[in-house]
Amino acid sequence: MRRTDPQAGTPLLTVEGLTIGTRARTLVEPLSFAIGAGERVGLIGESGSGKSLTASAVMGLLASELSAAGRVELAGEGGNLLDLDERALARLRGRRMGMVFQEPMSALNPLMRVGDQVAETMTLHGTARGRQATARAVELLDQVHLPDPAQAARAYPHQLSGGQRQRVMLAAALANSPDLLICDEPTTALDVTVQAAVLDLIDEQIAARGTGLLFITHDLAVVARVCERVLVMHAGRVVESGTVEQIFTRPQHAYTRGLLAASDLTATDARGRLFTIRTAAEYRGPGTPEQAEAAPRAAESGEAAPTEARPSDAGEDARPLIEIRGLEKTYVRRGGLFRRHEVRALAGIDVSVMPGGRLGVVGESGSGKTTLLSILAGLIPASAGTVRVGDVLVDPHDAAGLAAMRQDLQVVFQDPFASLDPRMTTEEIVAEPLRSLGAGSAERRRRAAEVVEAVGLDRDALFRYPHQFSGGQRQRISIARALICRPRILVADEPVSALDVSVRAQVLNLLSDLVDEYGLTLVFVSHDLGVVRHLCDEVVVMRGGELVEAGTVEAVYDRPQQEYTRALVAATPTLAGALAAQ
Amino acid sequence: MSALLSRLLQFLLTVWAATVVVFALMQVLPGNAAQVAAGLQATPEDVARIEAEFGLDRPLPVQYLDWVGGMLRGDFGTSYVTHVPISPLIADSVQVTLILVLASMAVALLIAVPVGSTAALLRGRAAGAVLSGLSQVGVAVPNFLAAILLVMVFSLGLGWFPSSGWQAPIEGFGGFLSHLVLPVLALALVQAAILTRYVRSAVLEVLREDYLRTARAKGRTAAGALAVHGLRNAAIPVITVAGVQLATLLVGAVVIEQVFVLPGIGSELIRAVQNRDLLTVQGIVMVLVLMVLVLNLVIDLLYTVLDPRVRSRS
Repeated sequence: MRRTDPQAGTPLLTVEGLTIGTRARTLVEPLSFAIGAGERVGLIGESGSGKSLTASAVMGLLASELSAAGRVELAGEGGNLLDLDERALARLRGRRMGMVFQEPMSALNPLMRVGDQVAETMTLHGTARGRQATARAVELLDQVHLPDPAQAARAYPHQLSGGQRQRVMLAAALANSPDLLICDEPTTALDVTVQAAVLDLIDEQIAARGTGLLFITHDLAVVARVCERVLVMHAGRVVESGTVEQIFTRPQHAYTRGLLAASDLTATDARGRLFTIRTAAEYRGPGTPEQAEAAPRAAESGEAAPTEARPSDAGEDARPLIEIRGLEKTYVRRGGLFRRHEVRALAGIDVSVMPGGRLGVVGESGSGKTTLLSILAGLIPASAGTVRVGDVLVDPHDAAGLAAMRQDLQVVFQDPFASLDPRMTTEEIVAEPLRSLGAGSAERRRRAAEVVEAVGLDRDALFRYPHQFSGGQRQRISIARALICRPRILVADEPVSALDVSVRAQVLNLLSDLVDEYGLTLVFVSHDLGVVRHLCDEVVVMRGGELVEAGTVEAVYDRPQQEYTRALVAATPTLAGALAAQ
Repeated sequence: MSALLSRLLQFLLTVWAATVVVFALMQVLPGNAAQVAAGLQATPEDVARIEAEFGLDRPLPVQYLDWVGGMLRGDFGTSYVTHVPISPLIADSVQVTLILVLASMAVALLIAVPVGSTAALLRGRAAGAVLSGLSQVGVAVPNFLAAILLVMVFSLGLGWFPSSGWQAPIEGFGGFLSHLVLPVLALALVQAAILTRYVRSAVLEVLREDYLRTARAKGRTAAGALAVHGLRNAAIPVITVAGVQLATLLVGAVVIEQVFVLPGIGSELIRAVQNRDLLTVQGIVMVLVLMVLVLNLVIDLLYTVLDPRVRSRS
């Protein structure tokens, strides 16, 4: 199916010595690459590496405060695209080059029917007009497999799901069968099963049209699945390029190796920890299952043998530390004056966690996992059922009970940018939980210093503000805040999903170490099955407010009993799987 | 559909509540309507006679129902002071005020939308800063001062437009327009300055939206994307503000009608207050309240037309 010799003839897109920068500094260093007709090239890198800027420069969509220099040539257009004015570029965009963006929620005009938004690509370039464009739009929506395309064409974006919107975006980008399609993290915001379907669709559609692809992503497993050739960007430079097979099995550059090692959650070093950029030298490459078996998982890497480390297994204390029984949550939505309809977020959940246990909660968006966590933390009331943490029955109206419970249970939230008060220093943020416990200021300061050190931050971090830290450092601050009152239970809500791959490995290692060191019980909520497999020993799979399956990580991942779990596991991209399919 | 019905029901309930409040306020005011109407030398018998004549000796709920019932039939009663029916007076003056207010809002929007959008597009450049600065100045000028300045320049100085007075359209459309220009400008310029700032920030907000980038990726120019996809989105917050501002304009019209001697509802209100003509004041205040409520209703319905997300929430 794939073109074997992209180098033959003139390449479709040639980029030579492209630099991008503001007046003050250079963001992308001279960069050169070419894409042949119908070729699929991946551009990988972490946030700030310049990959999205590169794509924007090719499309002529750079923000006005940025400027690009160098050469960008598109076969058949003669001349440098960077020299064209907005009007001339607009004639190329949508006709010869299409683009799909990351955020399907915001990339469509909320006030316009999606059929019209697809038709717009055609009417703008005169490839179809009026009724004919409308009919073509319906055809295109059918091609991207939207159910009932005629009806869908009349829908507004908010009436579609994220995956459906991304299909609409793809239909609009491909309406004129462009020669080049640029996808900027097109599936990052989607659930894994939806991601798999959208990736298949991109694959199918560009193959049918012979379209060249520039695919930007931070996710190595995704790029391995879609592309033939890969460019690796780091800090504004391309550090390495080659075929997927070369890059993923014989990486030459230290950064590529680090990235590869850090994204491989099945591989651990001799101490059972995930590889980071620094320790990547020992990494042997993805997809060697024997090695994954041989290396002990982090969860089992305590000094003592794992079975004895768990009080639950030792049989001394058979009472669960967290016990959730028949938990239900119903939200009431109101419309107008009299209408109300109910949304069932949780439909009778039973979960228990033994002291020292590590429970993973996985599920896609809307599965109810965040609701479950919010009730567990006493942030919102349950509609029915009980939650017991230690000796406390959790009830948001029982202030004294909650205060006692929060000494035992602390939460780390998803977004390290939004969850820290920007006007408080690290010391104030970290020590805040101690205030409600009535600790004196000297003690607060002493313990803040201790815990900040424990999460691997410098002492001078105490006196800085959140905006002075990177995402990974902020998440360390969140963890420090959770640990300062020495809880027995740590609840984490997607704590690494906003982080870059290399930082993710570091934070996961830190969490793993701290859980061992403090003897914590962990409840870890995530959409990422790989992360949960690495960190947890038990897992529950949620869907639509119900528990689909529960059991040990090995049992659920390797021998899933339910169809949904099987689909979820199969849809999760892994390096080994993608390479095997190449 | 049911959202529309419930919005209408809400409107009716608010109108009903307004009648109660307006009626109650007039009763709470010190002084007796009949006493005022009878004059200073009136004997208790005179007052009693007037009370009986106008039904002021009946229990308050009956008086209230009588007043509301009359209004439902389009009858605001007869003034205790001038002994003239109030309804025709309100009907005539409301037309003048509505023309003044709606024309002012239209002119204000005609200025604010292009100027605000340009200021947003030119952000960070000198021209953009000048536009923003001008709108700041405009916000600071009270409309009666704007009115006096306009009269000094265009009427007394250049002699282009009359300085005051009103001419009905049937008496000659040209005269009608030339009498309208200065009062409308006095109200509209200040309003335009306020709205320009909202338009600018709404457009700036929209310029950051991903869907504008999508439109450009499909082949629109930056300006085309803003015109086709951006402005309609930016209109939603601007309309919210414009709706609130219409109420402000009504209040402003009361002042401007005085300055330009226009026979609008504001002038009638002030005259009625000066005459202690309580029933007329009560009727005019009710009409003003009703106008604000109707304008709000229209704005709410406009949302539904503009924003499909509001439509499907129902």
